[in-house]
Amino acid sequence: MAAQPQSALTRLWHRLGSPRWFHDITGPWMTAFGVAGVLLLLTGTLWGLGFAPPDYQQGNSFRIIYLHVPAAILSQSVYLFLGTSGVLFLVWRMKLADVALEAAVPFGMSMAALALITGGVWGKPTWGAWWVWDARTTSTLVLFFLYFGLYALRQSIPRAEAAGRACAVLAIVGVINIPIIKYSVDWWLTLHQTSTFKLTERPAMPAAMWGPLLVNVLGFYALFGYLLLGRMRLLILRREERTRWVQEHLQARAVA
Amino acid sequence: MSGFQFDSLSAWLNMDGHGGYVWFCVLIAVVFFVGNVFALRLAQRRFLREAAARARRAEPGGNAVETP
Repeated sequence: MAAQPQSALTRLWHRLGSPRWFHDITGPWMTAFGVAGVLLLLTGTLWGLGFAPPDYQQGNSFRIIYLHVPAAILSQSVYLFLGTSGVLFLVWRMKLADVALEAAVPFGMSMAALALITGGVWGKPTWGAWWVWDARTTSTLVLFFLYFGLYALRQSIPRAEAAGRACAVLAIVGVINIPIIKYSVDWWLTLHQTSTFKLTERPAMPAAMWGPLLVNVLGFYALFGYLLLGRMRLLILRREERTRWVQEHLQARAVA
Repeated sequence: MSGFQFDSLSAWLNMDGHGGYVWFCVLIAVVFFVGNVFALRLAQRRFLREAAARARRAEPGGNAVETP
């Protein structure tokens, strides 16, 4: 009897369901993401803070953009990642998706907090206030609370399976906030400017200004990759501690 | 590409009076990233320590009963 022909995609899909396979292959990826992240952030930050020309209206305070915008972008993409993981977990029961859903929360929460803090510090010299109930600021605060809710929900439900389902539902429902943040600057009168990067148009800034911004956005993504893999690998070991492969892995580590 | 925008290191740190705001943001970002990495390392180490203790207790002839 001929074996069922499997496409490479199907094989990849089945493998992605295996936490062990994921743990086996991702060790070297962490190093690559970590090194790339540090190099990109050093380059982008030095370039942006020292070499980019000052803004003709805001002077040098605009340089906060090189941290504020990447943090804001990451806080939203990490949330979209959580929503996607939630769907994968609820619909296809993919264990690894639930691991990802737990592992990405602390970093996403940090990025929302970093966007809010750097936004406040930028707002003081530019708008004259640390905090305004601006549409984008407020919806980002909601995003922060969603992250906090996901973290608290996970801690409050003792059964892992039930906690995973509850978090997946909250993550999916919360995705509604992302277009609100994204389009807040177009829908309502706000103090925020519209996006610098658009898929269909050239940036509204000179290259000397958006270059470092792009480098830092990539650097933030790389460090997200590093931290996400690190937390996922730890969670996998913790959840599968009783299996033989984890016991062997732990023994090998203890000997080394 | 434009050259270095400041005349001296102190001018760079001062940024025409905006340096405090800008460098504070850099500091906070560094604290957040280092904090995330540090928290992960700490959790890893704690898990390895606790897992080793659980494995020792589970061994046959291991110290299964906590002795006072």
